[in-house]
Amino acid sequence: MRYLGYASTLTLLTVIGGVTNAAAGEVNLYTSNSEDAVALVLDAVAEQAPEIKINVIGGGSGSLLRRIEAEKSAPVADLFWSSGFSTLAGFSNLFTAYHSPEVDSLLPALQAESAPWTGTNTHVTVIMVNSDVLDGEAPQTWEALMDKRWAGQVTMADPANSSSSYAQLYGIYQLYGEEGVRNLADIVELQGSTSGVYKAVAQGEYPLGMTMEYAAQRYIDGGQDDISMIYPTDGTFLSPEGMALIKNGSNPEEAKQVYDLLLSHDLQKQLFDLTFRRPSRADLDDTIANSGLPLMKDINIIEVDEAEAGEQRDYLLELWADARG
Amino acid sequence: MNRFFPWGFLSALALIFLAIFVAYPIFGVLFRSFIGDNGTFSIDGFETFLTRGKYLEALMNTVILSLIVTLTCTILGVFLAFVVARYDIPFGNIVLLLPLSVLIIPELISAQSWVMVFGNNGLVTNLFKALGLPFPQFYGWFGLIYVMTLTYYVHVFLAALAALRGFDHSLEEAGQSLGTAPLTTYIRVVFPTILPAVLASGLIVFTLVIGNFAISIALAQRVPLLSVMTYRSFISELGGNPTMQSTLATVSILLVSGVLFLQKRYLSKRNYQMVAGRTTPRIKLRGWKAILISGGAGLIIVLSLMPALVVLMGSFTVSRGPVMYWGQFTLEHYMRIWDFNLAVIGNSLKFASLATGLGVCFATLVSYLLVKKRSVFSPVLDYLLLLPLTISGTVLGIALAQSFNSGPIVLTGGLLMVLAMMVRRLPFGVRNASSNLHNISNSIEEASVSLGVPPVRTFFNVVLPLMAPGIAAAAILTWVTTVAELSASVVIYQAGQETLPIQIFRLISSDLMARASAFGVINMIIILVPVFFGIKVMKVRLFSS
Repeated sequence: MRYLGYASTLTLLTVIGGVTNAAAGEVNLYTSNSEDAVALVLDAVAEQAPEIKINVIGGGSGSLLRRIEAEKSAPVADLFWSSGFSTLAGFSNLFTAYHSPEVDSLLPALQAESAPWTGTNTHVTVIMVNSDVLDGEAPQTWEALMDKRWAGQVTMADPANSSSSYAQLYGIYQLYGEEGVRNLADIVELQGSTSGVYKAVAQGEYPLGMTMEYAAQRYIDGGQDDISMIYPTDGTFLSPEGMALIKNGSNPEEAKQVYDLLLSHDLQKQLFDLTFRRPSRADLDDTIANSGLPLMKDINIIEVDEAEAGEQRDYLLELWADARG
Repeated sequence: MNRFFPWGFLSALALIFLAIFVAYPIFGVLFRSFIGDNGTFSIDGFETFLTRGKYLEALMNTVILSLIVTLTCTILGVFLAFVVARYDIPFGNIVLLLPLSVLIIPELISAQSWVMVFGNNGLVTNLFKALGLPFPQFYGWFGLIYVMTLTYYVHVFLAALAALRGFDHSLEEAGQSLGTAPLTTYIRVVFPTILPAVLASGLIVFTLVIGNFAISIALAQRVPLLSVMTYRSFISELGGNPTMQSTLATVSILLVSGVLFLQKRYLSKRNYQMVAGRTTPRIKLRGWKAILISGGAGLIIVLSLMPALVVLMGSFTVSRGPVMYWGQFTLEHYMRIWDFNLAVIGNSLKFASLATGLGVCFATLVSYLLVKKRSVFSPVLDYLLLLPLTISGTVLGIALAQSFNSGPIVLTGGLLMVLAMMVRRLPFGVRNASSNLHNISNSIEEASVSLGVPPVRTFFNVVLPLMAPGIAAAAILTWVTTVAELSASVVIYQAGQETLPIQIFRLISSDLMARASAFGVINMIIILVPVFFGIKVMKVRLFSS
């Protein structure tokens, strides 16, 4: 019965999913990135490695990773691009390490030397501000944000549901300990998902939100004048994202070529201009400065130990639930 | 001749199908809600549900919301039905488009479009802001009640209209001639007779609100609701807790089946048989009354059809990232779909046509078996067919995913999507398909068989053509609901299997409303074409039953 099950699974994936193991010269790319970002990659490949044909399967990173897991016995994907390091860690047995020659040009925090993936870009946690509904001066630090006067005016995603929101909670814990967690719990209102936060702030439901730099920048670049963002001066947190080669993929050599390309200077620049996701390369300061975003060296970044953050998760979420009452 | 073959055999097959794909997943969910972390019997799930404040709050909110929306839908639906049945209003014929508006505008799209109108950055909101007037917060109770009322009142409207049209006017005259005032006659004679129909449709609205996912997730950021919580428990990127998912699903199943049970109990006691009498003459209104009543009815109609227009406009509006520039027009969003997303349209067409095809074949066969060839299996089949009514889309999705992702039968992706779309619609499909069947005399079939035509050929040559109108209605209604299906498919789809509603849902999540609108327009066109074809060319009556 079980054998039948697997057999039918495979047949169905082939028939209904429409994708099979990549033929020679082809790379099956599973990606959670938007179509226009993917289009840039396709163009770059067509220009620089015209012999490679890329088949794109798009989707949410969670559903893509679950699909890769389901296909583990006969991998269809060759390359996965991209998801948060902490999410990737939960699926690390699906990946195989590859040391790209480009890795040396990356920011140290994004090289991920000991893990089977490589950083492609990183999110920076910011305070997104909607001046239209803001009463008074916006807080410049986490400490000021956690003041009682902002109670009910700050929103963040539920740390129990979202990994980037948990990273924010862990960062606050690292900076201000248990008391910080309790203070945050007292003033903040929760959204069910990460996207709920920037939407709520952009729509003026809350004046302040804890979210990712790129998300706020989309509104600023789009021309919504009342949106701005603050990089708290007492230190903020990175959530790096990475890509990985799939273990036992059928075309590792071609996939590695695409991997290198995704880390290349030109493509990272184009992707940043399109998506505002901070590149993992260290040599793109000019581009970042041109966009109006501050350079990495001008932001006070708090180092986060991912492993430690993972171990503390149950304890911290319990503390959080308790503080929320 | 073998008494078991072919009909008894086919009944058994249908029974096995329903047992595996309906009963097994649903009972699986109920069962798993009593299984703890370590795989033994435990009521931890329910203990958590009852002791953690947020779950009870969500349950309370869901019940309160359902009650309010049922009430507002009843008021709106009965008012409109009354106006249409009793008064000669200028646009009486447009009213008949209303039920269609609910069909062709998926819930997700109407929620989306009302956000574009009344949301914090919406058209009307910005207008109020420009005029310096305050505008109520749309996210939360106000928006939920408003959008759900406009989406669901049509159910009450249709039921009340049918009842009012069937009402024998001489009863009312009798009341008045005995000296009762007109208003009292309405209250004591007319309302009690249409009450069962109205209540039945009201309870349908109640169950629809409990299970609603699309509108809830778009508008209920501040109001915890059971359906959204159930979805989040499953989709959580940090890995869900199967016990809690099942517990939430079980609570929802119990709630809906409780309501359905009450409905059956109530209706079995009240059954009015109208002797086909005279219909009430329609009064032509004059003066301020005419303006007030036809204006009120007109407003309801305009509001019901507005989402389609807003979405259409949004799909041509210039946007930079999430920021929309109303008044500037572009074709860019459609060109992007052409360049990048034809596969999404293909997925929608593929899954919906498979689900419709399979669903209609199954419904046709089962309705024939249940009406004409009753066997020992029939009562069980009847009950199994009620089961899909008790579960919302989200719960069905979770039930299918939990049951078929591992265990003795493994199904993934495409087939599961088709199955989810098909199963949800089955009870209605069977009802549509069997609508003419009761009127087809057994003697026609017997005549054919006694003339030597084998039973199966008789079915195809004699019965099937007579069932055709009902089957066509079933096919169109199934198509419409499967193309718009979101709540179950969003739980089970895998990467590369996005349908139009899933794509719209994801774009709305990242606040890209203009692009979501372009997909919305395509979704409406795909729904509308067969409906239009069916009604205009094939003269199918969709709302006869």
